[in-house]
Formats: sequence, C-alpha cells, structure tokens
Amino acid sequence: MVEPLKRISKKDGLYHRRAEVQALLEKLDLVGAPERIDQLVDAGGELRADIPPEALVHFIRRAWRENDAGSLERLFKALFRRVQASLAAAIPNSRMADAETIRGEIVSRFMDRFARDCREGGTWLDYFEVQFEGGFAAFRTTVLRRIGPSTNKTAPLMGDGEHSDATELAPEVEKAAAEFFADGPSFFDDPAFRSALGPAINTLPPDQKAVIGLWLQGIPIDAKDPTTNTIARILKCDEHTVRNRRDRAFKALRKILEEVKANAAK
Amino acid sequence: MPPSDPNASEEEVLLAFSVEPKRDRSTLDRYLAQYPEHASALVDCSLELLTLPTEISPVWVADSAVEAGWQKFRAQLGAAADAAVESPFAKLTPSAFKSLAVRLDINNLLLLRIRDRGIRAVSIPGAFMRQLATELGAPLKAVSEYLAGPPCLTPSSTFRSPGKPVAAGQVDFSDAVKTSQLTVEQQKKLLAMEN
Repeated sequence: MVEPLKRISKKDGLYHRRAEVQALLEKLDLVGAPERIDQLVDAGGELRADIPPEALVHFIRRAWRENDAGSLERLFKALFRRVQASLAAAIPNSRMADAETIRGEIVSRFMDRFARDCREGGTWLDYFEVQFEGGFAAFRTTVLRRIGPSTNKTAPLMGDGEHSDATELAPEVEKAAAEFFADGPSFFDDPAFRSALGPAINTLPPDQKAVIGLWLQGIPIDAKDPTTNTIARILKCDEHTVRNRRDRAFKALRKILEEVKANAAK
Repeated sequence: MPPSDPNASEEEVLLAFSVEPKRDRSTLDRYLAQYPEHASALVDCSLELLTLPTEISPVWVADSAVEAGWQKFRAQLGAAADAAVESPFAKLTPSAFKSLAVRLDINNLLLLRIRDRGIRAVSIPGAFMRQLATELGAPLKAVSEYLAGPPCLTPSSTFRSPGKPVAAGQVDFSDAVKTSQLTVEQQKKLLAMEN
C-alpha cells in the first residue's frame, strides 16, 4: 500500500501527490523491489527519463523504513546524481563566482537534511514527493541566501555612471524595450521563450533580476491602491527606480529575446 | 486569510510556497501578506521558481563522488544503518507478503510485527523461526540475525506521532500472539510451539 502524505497544509489540509505520481507509485507498489528498481533507475545508475524524481524520494523513504539496504543504496545514488544535474542546470558556473563550491555545499546540506528526516521520521520530505524541483528550488534559495555570493557573476552592461539607478536610460532604449515587451508578461508562458530567458535572467544583477522577475509574475510597478502589492512596495524603493531597473534589464535581455522571437517566427 | 504562523521558519514557508499548485501573482500576494517577515526570501524563491529549467539533463558525476555521497549519507543515517542487515522481507511484494502469512497460518498483523521486529527474537520458538526461514527461502541464520535487530520505525509510528518518533517497544512472542487478533485455533497452535 502506498502511504498517503502526512504533512498538513494550513490552507488545504493534507498535502497530496500529483495524480500521475500517485498512479505510478501504486503501479510500482505491486512489483518486488528488484523489478521496481529496474523501472526507476537505468543501467548507468541514473533516474530514468520518464520517471519523476518524486517517485525516487518516495521509494528511498520506504526502503529506509523497511530496512531494504540494497534498494536504499541504489536509489540514493540515483537521487544523488539527479540532485547534481538539477544544480548544474540551476547554478551553472556562469551564474556566480565559485558556483562549484556552492553547488557542493547545497548538495551536502540537502543530504544532511534528507538523512535527518529519514532517521527521525519527519514529514519534511513530503514536500519533495509533491513537487521535487519546486521544493529543491526553495531549499536552494534558503542555502543561497545564507552562503551565496552577494552579487551574480555578470559583466557590467554599461559604464559605472550609467549603471546607477539614478541615471536615466536614453529615451530610445526605453521606447525599444516597451515595444519589445508589448505582449506583456504573458509572453513568458511560451516554453521556448521561458527556457531561453530563465538562464539569462539569472545573469542579471540582483536588483534588476528582482524587478524583472516580479514584473514577469504580473506584479504591477506601482498602484494608487495602498493595499495592492507593487514592485516598488515589495522592494522598498520608488517607482522611478523600479522602472529604471526594469528598462536596464530589458536592454540586457533584448539580444536573447530577439533570437528567441526570431526562432519562434520561423 | 489565515493568520500568520509566527513559528514558521523561512525554509518551511518557502517549501510550502514552492509546492503550491498555482504559481501566480495571487499566490505570491497571499504569502507576502501572510509572512511579511519572509518577504525578501519569498521574492528570491519566486525568482528561482520562475527561472526553473524546463528540462534537467543528466550530468556526468564521478562514481567516486557518488560513492562518497552514499557513504556520508549512510553515516548520517546513524548506527541503525550501519547495523542494518538486509531484511529477508524486503523483496516481498504486497501479495507475496499476504501469501506468506497464509502459509504460516497467521494473519498480516502478526507478520507485520515480526517484520518490524516488534517481537523479541529470543522469545520466538525455534520451530516457528525455522518455518519462517523456509517459507522466506532464506537461511535460518540470516532470518535470526535480522529479527535480533532493533525494532523498526514503521510508517504508522513514523508519521502519527506528534513528537519525535521512536520505535515501539518489543513484546514477547506469546504476548504478540495473544494481541494480534488471531483465531483461537491459530493462537493455540502458535503457543504450543513454545513447549
């Protein structure tokens, strides 16, 4: 039997796995451990491409509970490789200085936490059976906030004077950016655009990244209604500064966006 | 809007945020309102989620690094992992497990207590131990060694405890037989093995 998750969400009650993950777990529950491992992990020790990592987390926890040492080792090793792959995609060497050390630290802390939760039988790992990549992004965020570099590894886009928030962009830059983003944040829903833009956003300086990220999530720059969350209020700066940072980010990202748009039009 | 939980750590808040089914402005707004003390972390997390790679490609990882990771993990799991003996029950499918209970003429509950080492191994009659090893297709020594280990954290004890879970204590075989909802005939037969 596949145990339900036990962690409770304040808003919705118990957490649940995604339907496709639950169905897969129930299917794999019916076979013995050796066959199950073969269905989860390929001959090279990697998680199979069609298997969601949430299933791996579930069966590692189960192998631990059932004292299935052989399964535990093989599944853990597949998870270890998967975590490394996830980090290599999210924190490539181009993103920040000393990325390799930071990736190593995140892996180490994640495995510490994973082991502690297995040992103590907590419900922390339930998050990773609901949404592994999302949960791992959240974990990574907490670690990066503690040990990450204060700035991203990025070449200055302009001279020092121009880089200041107080300096206006040339009107033609603002106009070009506005025209380019005329489709608004919804353009970000395009998978091709998103996959190209994500890594590019990560190369922006943190202040610009925050502005562009919030704008792409539909948060307005400013609003008259004092109860509305705006980028200016969230980042505790004025509207003028927010617009400047957004336009600088647009300028930096424009080359990449043009290539994506051109490819999409083909 | 539910009240803010003053005890929620940054990590807990971000994890809950990250598994929300909808990652949109309304979700971010809700969390920012509920956890203003974690606003900066929530913004950072929302950006990480926004820029999640759409596809994760395998990367080359040296076998030595994987092995080192495993050894570290194993050490972190503690003495229980170091002492772990391969469970002769590990490879049983749910149906094979039920079938084993039938062949031993016991019920699933008693077999679960045996599997989870909730019964003192020294109190298990030799005849029953031999029958169990035979039905499992495992050497008697391997089964005896496994059952002599510490009690396991079962899924139910793991998750239903409000505090830090601990393995339930062990009972003698005779007590387990009497409290496992077996029929009177089954109890008589098992208790007779003690003589």
